[in-house]
Amino acid sequence: MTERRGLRRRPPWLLVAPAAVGAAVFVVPFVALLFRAPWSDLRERISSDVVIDALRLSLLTSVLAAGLSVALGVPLAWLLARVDFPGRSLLRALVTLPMVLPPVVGGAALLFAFGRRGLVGGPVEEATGFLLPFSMWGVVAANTFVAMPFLVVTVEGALAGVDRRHEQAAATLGASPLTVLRRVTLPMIAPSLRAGAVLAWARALGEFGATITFAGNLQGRTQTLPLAVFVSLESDRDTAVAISLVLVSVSLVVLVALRDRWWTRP
Amino acid sequence: MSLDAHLVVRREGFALDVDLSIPAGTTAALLGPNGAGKSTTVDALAGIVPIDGGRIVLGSEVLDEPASGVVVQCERRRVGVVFQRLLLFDHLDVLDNVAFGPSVTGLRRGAARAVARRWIELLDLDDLTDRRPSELSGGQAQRVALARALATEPELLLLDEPLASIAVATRTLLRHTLSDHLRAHDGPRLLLTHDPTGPPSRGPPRSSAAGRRRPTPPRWPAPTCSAPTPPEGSCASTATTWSS
Repeated sequence: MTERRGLRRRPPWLLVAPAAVGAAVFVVPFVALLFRAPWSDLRERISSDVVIDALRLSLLTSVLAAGLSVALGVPLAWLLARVDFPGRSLLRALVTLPMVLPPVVGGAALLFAFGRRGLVGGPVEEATGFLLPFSMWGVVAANTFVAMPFLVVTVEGALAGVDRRHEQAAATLGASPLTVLRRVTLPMIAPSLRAGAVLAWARALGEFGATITFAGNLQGRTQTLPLAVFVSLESDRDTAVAISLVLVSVSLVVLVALRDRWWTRP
Repeated sequence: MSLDAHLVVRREGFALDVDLSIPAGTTAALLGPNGAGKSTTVDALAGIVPIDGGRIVLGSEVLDEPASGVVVQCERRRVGVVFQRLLLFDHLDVLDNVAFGPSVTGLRRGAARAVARRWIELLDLDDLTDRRPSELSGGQAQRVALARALATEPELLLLDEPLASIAVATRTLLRHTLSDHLRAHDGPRLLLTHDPTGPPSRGPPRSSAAGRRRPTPPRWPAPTCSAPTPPEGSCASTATTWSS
């Protein structure tokens, strides 16, 4: 009995103790949220127009932002990883800047660029009448701005780790550089690409600062779930908690489902 | 269709200078120790790295000639390569590995697979079509790599250390089957090896680059020129050819 117990070693408490504190950092706030939840009338609270509108908008804009991040971020990551051009380090730093910048600053910068009197926004509105801020596409733009860096960083790292000999082998078989990327490189880095897309989506779903600065807080048009939580915290705390629970559930369901299927390789 | 090449590739602390002349339907062997520039030779002929001097002429087409500025991109060269590490695509099964070349050069998926099946049959890989490369033995993977290279119907075939990844015990057997399979290719073929025991037991005496003795044609082409690395680190090799 004692011998058998001796074979199974206990993990060292020097690791277990800080790990437990680390886990508590994540667990305690969610437990608190569950305790605080207005369970009796939860159903009515989360089926109000405000919440339904915000949920619909949040899902739509976060998925669009993740899609845009993939469509634009993969070529950008490829450029950063594979093409040696002047200013590459600077561009790489600029691309990752939204990860450390306060999102409010990002939202303000977006306004100066695409607002009515912005560098690009002014001429574009004059020419086409299209104005990005305070529209659903403004939300998508703000989301993409904060989310795409996660995809670019993940995919660029994966591209740097790819064995170039496989790409060269594909070229000797007649594949052009674009075909090599599509048929060999991207399939080889598929797990990282998926992880990057999920990270970008998750970041977009939770986005608050850039969205409220750049797109405003119009119910049904630019008010996403995080914005709805913020507004209700001022007036109606129970509804704020209820919306938070919706946000937590949606995120958890997606992250757990994708983690099992995509993030771990058999 | 023959290969005439003079390759000059310079790297820091390394210079490669090789003359190759291989008539159609024959196999030349290039022998050199590791680090002598065999893989650089493959890369230069395949178009993965440019040459710094000399020229590569395949048939009537100039593939690379720095002096005149002519260079044909890798994907446009009709050069098939069996790489030392084989480099099969792990995300594709055997059938789609072999079909890769035909499909990226314009055939639809079905037609490309039909081409692939012909080569798979020719190289006795019928039972393995839906296996992944990770599920193959060394010898099977090597045949798949050969089928993949041949399926593009290359004019020049390069084999880089084709037996390096194979257990010694199965090499002799494989040498024979491989040389049979090589007959499916009627252009010039270049075999690169560091293995001085490469030829079968009845192989020719090892000779220097200058000695162009013609022994009875071996089933597996024997390397005839060894290229000892001179002190300054440059390598000059000459390949000798036999018809097989």
